[in-house]
Amino acid sequence: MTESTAIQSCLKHRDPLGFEYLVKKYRREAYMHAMIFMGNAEDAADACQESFARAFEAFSRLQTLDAFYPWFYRILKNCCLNMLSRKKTSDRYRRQNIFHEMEEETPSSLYEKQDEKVRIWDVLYKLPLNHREILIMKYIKECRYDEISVLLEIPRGTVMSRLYHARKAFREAYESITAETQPSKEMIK
Amino acid sequence: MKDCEKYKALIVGLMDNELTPKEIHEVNAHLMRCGQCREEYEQLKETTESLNTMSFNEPQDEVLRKFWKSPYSRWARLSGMLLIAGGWLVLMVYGLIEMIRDNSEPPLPRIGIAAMIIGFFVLLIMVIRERAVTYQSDPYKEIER
Repeated sequence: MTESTAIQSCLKHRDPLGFEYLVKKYRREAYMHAMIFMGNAEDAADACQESFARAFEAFSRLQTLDAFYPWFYRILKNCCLNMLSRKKTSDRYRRQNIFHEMEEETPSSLYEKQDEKVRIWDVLYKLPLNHREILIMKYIKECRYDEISVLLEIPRGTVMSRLYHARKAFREAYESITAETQPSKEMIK
Repeated sequence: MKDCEKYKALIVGLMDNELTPKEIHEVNAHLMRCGQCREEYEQLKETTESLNTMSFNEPQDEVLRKFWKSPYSRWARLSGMLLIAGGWLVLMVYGLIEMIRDNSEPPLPRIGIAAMIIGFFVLLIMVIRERAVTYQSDPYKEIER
């Protein structure tokens, strides 16, 4: 089965097997995108589950669909934002969900690298949502500009300028977090 | 400079290898003559290197499998529950009618059936009441399901 035959079988016959093919193809990507908004694994998984169920329901109202994921991404994003606004907790970011903790016997050089990664994620979750969204798409998902343009429904020029502003915001936030943590390290020494 | 604003986005594109040959030529020519943009380029390059070190905890297959439950299994579960509940209801209504119509039945089974019917309605009312109370305080009630 290909993506277009899966879409056709969903559109014409509302076939759950066709939809299951699409879920299997895109669930990893959906999870990663849900993490951008939700900031922790449990909420991201809930958002994915709900979004796929909503997408299946919405299929019956569609006449045509060229590509599944850009359409689904809008459902996923709305679902995540809806969940966030209802839960009314701004700080749902839990770093242990995002990457593996280091083992005890890990060499200290690797700990330093880990610290750096922790700091980068901390900074990312301090940024406004549209900056975080585009930075993760570019640097974790390694999306090309044309893919980002389709997913976010913005022209290529806007992708470039948003990435420029997002990187600037990242740098400023990174410098401010580094400045905040520096004195406490000195005090420990 | 107004000119520099135009090139800032292109500098990002240059770093990400996303520019057309014509754009590369334009932005390189600008970088040759503008020290401020060269400085900006170096700073953005450093930031990009940091961002490139990011990694992500891949989800387990078990987590991913939970994202989709076939509607067949949901329909099967729902129809099974409806059949059981429907069967119970039919039997109880039948028992009630028979109890009213037939006075020859000994009192013990009649009391048993009456207790079951009363118990069922008490539970039904309790469930409806609890649902109503929960709905009033449910923070997720406005979310489209």
